[in-house]
Amino acid sequence: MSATDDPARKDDDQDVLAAELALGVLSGSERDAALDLAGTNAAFAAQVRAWEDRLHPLGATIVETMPSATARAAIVTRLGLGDVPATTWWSTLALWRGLALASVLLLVAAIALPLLRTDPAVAPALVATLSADGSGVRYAATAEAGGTIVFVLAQGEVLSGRTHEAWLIPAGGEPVSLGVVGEGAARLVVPQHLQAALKDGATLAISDEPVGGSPTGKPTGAVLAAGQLRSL
Amino acid sequence: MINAEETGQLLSRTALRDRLAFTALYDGTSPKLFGICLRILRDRGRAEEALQEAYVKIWQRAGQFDREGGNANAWISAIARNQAIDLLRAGKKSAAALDEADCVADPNPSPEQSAVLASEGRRIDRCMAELPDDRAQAVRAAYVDGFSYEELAQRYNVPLNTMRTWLRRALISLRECLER
Repeated sequence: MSATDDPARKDDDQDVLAAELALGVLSGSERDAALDLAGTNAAFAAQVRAWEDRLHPLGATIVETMPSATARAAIVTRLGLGDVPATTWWSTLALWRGLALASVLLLVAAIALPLLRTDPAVAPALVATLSADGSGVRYAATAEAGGTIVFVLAQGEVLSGRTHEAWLIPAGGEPVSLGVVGEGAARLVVPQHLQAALKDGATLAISDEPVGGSPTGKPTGAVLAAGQLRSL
Repeated sequence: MINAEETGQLLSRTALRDRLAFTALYDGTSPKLFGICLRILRDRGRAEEALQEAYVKIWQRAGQFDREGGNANAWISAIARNQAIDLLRAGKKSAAALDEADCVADPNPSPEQSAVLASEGRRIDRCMAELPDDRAQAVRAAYVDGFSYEELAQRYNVPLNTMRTWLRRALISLRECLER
């Protein structure tokens, strides 16, 4: 078997080509040919992927820079994502950390209100601040017209290997799971049959659960934060 | 940049066309991806062009990552890098622009950055340290600044085939080191 027939050598050459493509040193027709190969040959594409993963840490020292708001708007427009709130900056963790809880509530009301889906015929929006003695976790919650609640983690964090699960506890009733919340903002849908329970005095709670949420359908872990919905 | 696990989760939701997840993904990762494009293209306007194309691809291909798995941040960074390099290669480079390459920031980590990297024990940095200095520098410059073989050969003042051999051997050494 000659050197050029040796399959192991060919594989090696192909892997080196994958490395060169991932590194970015190819140009012109050589680069085009390699890109074409990646598009048609799954094994080669996998080799390129593996090299991208290997080389990725080399970019650790590249400095982060904010792109312009125009760039963001252009992407939103191009993908037709038009009616997503123009600024989700209010959902970033960096904003909420360092704010006193009272300010959090005011900010949620001031910023979130114009973004909420509101229907004048429906009850006014409700807000809640969720906290608990001895717990470092705090959430701000806003109930929107249409039966959804937006939860924003205002303080604390989700521990590795755990999740935060949100519950609605109607007056005199059992907790009903709304879903998993955590870093940033989450919009959860309240089941149809409970939407009448979304009113002044309804209790929201956050429990500590395993990844994937409570396996039983009822809270299994500690109550990290709780509070009552109030109309503004 | 948000961590790879969070990026992966947002990509899964993006694959299901969750627009809130996609905008959260953009907000959490665009400063890094823009930094990557800016470093390669050295021009804000072109970098934003590359960034736009990158996020359109991320939106379109999120399902592909979901199926394949791997490091989500590496996946999106590679999309951004490839877009930037495409734009870079497509632009006609004048001789003057090529000379500017000498004025580019040192791709090697600063002492502070090195300390951070060392403390995180990145295997690639240990493996890069096993390469001869000039080969390691060439690999880093290629990755961070997007230099082609031709540009690297000029920059290091060696024949093109020499640079190809240098880098190929360096890449093979890196692969062997990382697989240990």
